[in-house]
Amino acid sequence: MARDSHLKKVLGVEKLGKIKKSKVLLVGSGGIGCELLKNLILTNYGEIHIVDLDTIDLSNLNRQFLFRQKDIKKSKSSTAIKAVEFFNNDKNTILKSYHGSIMDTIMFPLEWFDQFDIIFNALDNLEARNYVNKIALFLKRPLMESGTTGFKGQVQPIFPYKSECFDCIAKETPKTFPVCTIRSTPSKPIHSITWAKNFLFLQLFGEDVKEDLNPNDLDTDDKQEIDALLRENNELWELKALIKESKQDNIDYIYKIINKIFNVDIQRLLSIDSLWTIRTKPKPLDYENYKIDLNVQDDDQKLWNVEENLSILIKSIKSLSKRYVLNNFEAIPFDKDDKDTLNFVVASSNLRSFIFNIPTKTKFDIKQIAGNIIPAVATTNAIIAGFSCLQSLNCFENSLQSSFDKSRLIFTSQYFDKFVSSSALVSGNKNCKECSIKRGILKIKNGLDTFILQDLIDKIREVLKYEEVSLILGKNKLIYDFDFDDNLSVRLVDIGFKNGEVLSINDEDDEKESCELYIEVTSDNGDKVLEVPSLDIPDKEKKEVEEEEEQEEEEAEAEIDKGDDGFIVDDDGIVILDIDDDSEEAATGNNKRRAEDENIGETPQKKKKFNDSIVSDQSGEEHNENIVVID
Amino acid sequence: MDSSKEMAYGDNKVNKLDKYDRQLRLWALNGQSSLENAHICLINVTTTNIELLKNLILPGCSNFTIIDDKLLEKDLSTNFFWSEAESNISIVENLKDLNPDANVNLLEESIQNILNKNDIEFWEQFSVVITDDSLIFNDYEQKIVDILWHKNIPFIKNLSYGFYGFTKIVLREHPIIETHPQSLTDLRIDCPWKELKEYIDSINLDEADSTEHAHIPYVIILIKSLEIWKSEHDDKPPVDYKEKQQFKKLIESFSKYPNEPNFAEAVQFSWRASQSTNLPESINELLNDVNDVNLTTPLFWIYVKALKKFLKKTMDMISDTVNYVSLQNIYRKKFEADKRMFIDEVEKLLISIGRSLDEVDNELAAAFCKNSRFILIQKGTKCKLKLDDNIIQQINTVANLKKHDVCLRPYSPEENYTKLFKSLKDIFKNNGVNEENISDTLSSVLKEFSRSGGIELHNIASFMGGIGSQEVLKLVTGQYIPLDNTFVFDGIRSTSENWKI
Repeated sequence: MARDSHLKKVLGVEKLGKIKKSKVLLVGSGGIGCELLKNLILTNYGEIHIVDLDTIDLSNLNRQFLFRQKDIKKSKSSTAIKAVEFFNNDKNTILKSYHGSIMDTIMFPLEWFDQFDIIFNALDNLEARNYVNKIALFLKRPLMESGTTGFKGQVQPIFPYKSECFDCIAKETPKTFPVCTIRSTPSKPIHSITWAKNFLFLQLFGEDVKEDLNPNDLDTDDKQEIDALLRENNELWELKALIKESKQDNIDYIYKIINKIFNVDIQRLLSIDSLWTIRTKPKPLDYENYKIDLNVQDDDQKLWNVEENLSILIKSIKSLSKRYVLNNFEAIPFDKDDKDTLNFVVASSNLRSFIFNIPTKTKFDIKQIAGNIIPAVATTNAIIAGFSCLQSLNCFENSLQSSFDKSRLIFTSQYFDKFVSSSALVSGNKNCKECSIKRGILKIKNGLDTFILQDLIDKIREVLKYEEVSLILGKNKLIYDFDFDDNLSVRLVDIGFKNGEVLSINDEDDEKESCELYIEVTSDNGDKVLEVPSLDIPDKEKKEVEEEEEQEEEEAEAEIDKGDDGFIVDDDGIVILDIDDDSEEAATGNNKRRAEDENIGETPQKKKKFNDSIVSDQSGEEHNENIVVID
Repeated sequence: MDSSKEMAYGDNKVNKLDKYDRQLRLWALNGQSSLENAHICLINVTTTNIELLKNLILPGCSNFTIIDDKLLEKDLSTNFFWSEAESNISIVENLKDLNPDANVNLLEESIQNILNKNDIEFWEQFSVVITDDSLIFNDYEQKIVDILWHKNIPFIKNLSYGFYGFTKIVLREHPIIETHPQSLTDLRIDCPWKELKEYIDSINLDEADSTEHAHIPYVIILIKSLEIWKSEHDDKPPVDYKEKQQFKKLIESFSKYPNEPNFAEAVQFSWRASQSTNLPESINELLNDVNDVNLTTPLFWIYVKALKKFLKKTMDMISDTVNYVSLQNIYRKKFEADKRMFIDEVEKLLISIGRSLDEVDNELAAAFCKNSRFILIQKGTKCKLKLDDNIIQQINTVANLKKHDVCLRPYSPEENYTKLFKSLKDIFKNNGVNEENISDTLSSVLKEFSRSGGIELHNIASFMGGIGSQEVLKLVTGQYIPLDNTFVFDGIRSTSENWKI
């Protein structure tokens, strides 16, 4: 029996015909992606393109069912396609894979996205989700957004400019700690771990730049404390020099490092009486009192004692120094799967915890915190992928309104009373910075090196009817405003205009709404074209923002108060915190529908702060499919 | 967990801790080890339940027995692991291939044969038995449920028809220590014990200088504030919204300097002051439920009984430690002391009934103490049909028409509809409801059932496989609270309901 006979029976010939003619994009071939690929194929989608930048890792195999042990280190997207071709031998669906970042505008320009009828997100990080959401808005293409964390999961169908977009619901930003808590007065395991990973490790094996500590950034007014921290910094710089000169047969320098960070620095902190009037005093650690055994086991689940921590730290510094010297002092990135870097962080944070009377943690637990690991299991991915595919069937209605009416936002949780819950879609948030503004495509043909900024501004005024504007290219490059006109006669190419870049236009007079243009650069043998899309930019509504927000806050608080009955706060998503107990931290979010993501990077920070969600994007580490919104 | 931690796969060695790392975060080694010791039984292959098995093989459940004597004759074309070129046996082979840790056996024997052997021990080997609705003929389902109920082995019925899905768990008694509540935090803000109280009294908010003041743990601020509040309010904590707001103001009034983070924290968590440390009602019920213990009493009940004895001696048990350096020792000491006392009770009980003290597992006992306010015994029901006018419950009833011999797969849509409608009328009649109450919606739902004729849509099958497998994971690990006990999914409207029936 042919595979589609059942589909015909249940979906009907007409709808199935539409599905067979559809070309869809699947972004991500991880936990949700593998399941979704299977479901889309067996729903008879005509053509599926799948994009993923990752390679397969051992820890994926517990849920990403298209991968086997022999596939480790291979590209996820192409392996997934090969695996399904093995089963999908009637080849109803055309499959194509790409190994790359979805945000790569050269590989994936806007016109490339334009070929798809539906986009499915099966992503693991906020940045890419935001990006694809924006693309969906530019193209007005339906987007099936999904994510899981442990037993929790969520599917959000997005119909651009009709329903809420991904950015309509505020996402939680990572928790930060004052510098002085991390550097002088830690009181929780997370403080020690943040210190080990984001301070000590970076100082010893990170970028080779001496960090100038600005006393204003330290969040403390204590003169003595500031001096101590500044001195500490200079001395660390000297220690780094020791590492650079280190020879493998002599590990005296390691003892010097250990003595400084766990003894000398602590003595110095102790001498500042004002810090310890109410806190328990730290106890400096003298390594000479302990027996070092470099053959000690770095057990995952067992708590290490001081001797074990010291021994493992020495071993890891030794190994890291060797790598550092061999690679001509190239910075070593922290990677939770790099045994040396992880052991360094585990042992040094535990030693610091010993000193400050903080409970120590196992390697297993610290790996989760430092590596930002999000729990993941096959079952939740299967549920969520099933929903995502099911919701996509609503895209084949006869009108956008009907698609909107039929679609449902879906949440699952471990609590069986809220096992699976769904709700109707709602219209976009009028304050959403993404979907409350108009969008269009700025077409530049053959003229990137001819047109100057003045040409563009003239067109913008003419077509979009702004009086005075400011222009921002990309994320935050200001290229023009009323008192910055240096670029007016500069060619667009020299300002940085290129295909795939986004130009934000803001009204300096604050009369009209902002808009965003996607820059599309093309060339042929024809004329030079600079075309600003004609968008009907509405006037700004005078919003009574503040009052409304206050009200919402009140409501949110009332909501939190319901915590007494035990149903507010989900455990702060960023799992990190809940190891340490703290669902306390969880109550911090005052959004009734709160989104979480382990990978909330690049939040602009006014003050230098340590970031506890320890976003370490550079390592290409595992970000699991993980976003959850609690209703 | 395999003590060697590593398992050989051909030439490769794989560290299981790394392989299963992402899920160990959910249920830790004890949960994983339960999965590895589990034996899952599937009766009758369907696409839905093959997907369910897939989701159990991946996380490392080790043993599977599939009972099906008609596998070769079935239409399983909606199954991902099916291929036109190969026999249906290849589906089982492909399942095995998902995880070298899994051991999948196909038993091509009819249920009738197995039941006729009257071999109760055959069923004892399973941790859970999964099937669809195909056992309703000849009362096979009832027979199996009776055996499993007696042996306290969970039975799961999991299926999908077209856009509809149905899961039901039949179990007698399922104890859970780690229910994974939203928070295990237990700060005793409303009733600090002696040592904590002394410590708190030793701190004077007024005398602290600016740095000290901003570093007093919020727990202390809360306890002090609550004490003052209670002295002015008949010894009662803030109860309603208005009082809670006033309480926040009270906390703020103790702040001496602008922007003190600890006071902001105290305000933020001020709701904790209204939480009472009294034993939850569910635990009281559990304590009343405990009977005499003997040689065969499960350890869970021994622990419950020990908890009861413990609580008779002291007021309560602290179940958590906090992270503030200055406070943690006070909390930790109390926790350790309580735990020790609890274990003493367990040991006394075991000795009194002649059981070995080796049964006491320190980690499990610690987990029990930590979770003592949240432990749960889930009690199931055997099938009883009950009707109310909720449409979806009626659907569920339809899907559960075991007594009415309704199995959709073999019949045509028209036959199905006629049968379903007749059965529905019978049910209405038996429950004393006028058949005119059968609504248009319900009959259109019946039509959808009939139209699909028992066909599985892959996507819905995959979804229901996910739902069913998630419940199996909860049951087998003994962690988290499983569905209690019926879940119905309507994929046309993307809605779902659960009931206990």
